[in-house]
Amino acid sequence: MRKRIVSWLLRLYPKVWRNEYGAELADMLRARPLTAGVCSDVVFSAMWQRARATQASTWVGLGLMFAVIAAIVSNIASAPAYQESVLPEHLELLQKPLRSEFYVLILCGIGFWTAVTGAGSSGRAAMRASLIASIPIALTGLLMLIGILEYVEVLPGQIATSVQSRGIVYTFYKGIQQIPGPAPLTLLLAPLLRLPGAWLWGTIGGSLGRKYVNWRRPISA
Amino acid sequence: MARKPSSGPAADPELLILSSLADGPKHGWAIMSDIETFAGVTVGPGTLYNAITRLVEKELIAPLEGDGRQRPYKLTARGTVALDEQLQNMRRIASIGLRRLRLA
Repeated sequence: MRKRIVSWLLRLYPKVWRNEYGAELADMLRARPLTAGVCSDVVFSAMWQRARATQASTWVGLGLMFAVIAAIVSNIASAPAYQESVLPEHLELLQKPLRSEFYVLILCGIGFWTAVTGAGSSGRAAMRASLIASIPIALTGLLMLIGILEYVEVLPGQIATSVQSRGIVYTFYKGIQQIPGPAPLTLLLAPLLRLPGAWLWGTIGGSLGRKYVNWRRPISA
Repeated sequence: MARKPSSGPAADPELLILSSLADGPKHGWAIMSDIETFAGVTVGPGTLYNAITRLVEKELIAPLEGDGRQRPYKLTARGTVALDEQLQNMRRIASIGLRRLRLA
């Protein structure tokens, strides 16, 4: 039983860390009483090591994911009125949080940082962040597909109805170009559809990062 | 059993490990027992190995080849300087504080 608990506790650590220190820690845990205090100390330490081993692109992806969740929740909870003929910037951002110039800059930044720190492929790092950030969009598509979430289209001059009167509904602000509303299947596949773009922006950032590294490197004689 | 204090030098596992290794190499288990003896503090195994990981990354301590599963760790030249600086600072602050307390 003790052996199983120790092996379970060790599995909480990242593999690289386990290869380096796992045997020593296992010996120590087998030699002393496994109290609740010791177990919680090991669990918190393992979480800390996991957090340290997590790549920067994953943290950025999680940050973007929370921004997308906030945009979707605020749209459902209190959709603002659509008063002007041209879609105002704040509504544009609310509707397409992952299509803004800011988002592109973030993906380039991830690529740049990955190249500067030498933490692997820049394109892949940007794709990872994009994939994590798009998870709520895919979930929205899934909820629409199974009929839990509806969407209403609002035209310029119209006021979105309150959540009390319309239930759980996503408000889509239809622009003057009359672009059709979001298709559930497209939303469901959004994480995959965004990958090529994310790879491109990450790679561009990465090539800038490599140029920066070469520029900073002292010229050897 | 002694508990881990929430503040002060005895709450810093890195300082405790460096101090423990000041008189020679030790493996994890021996470091933990030594800290309990000289500081009256129990450092959990997870906390101990997290601190060891950070100290190895900072090149303040280094693992030696061990014959068993437990590797001994030794203080590096950089670690000796860092420990000396930290202890000298603490001594200076402690002596000033104590002197002022006596004057008060």
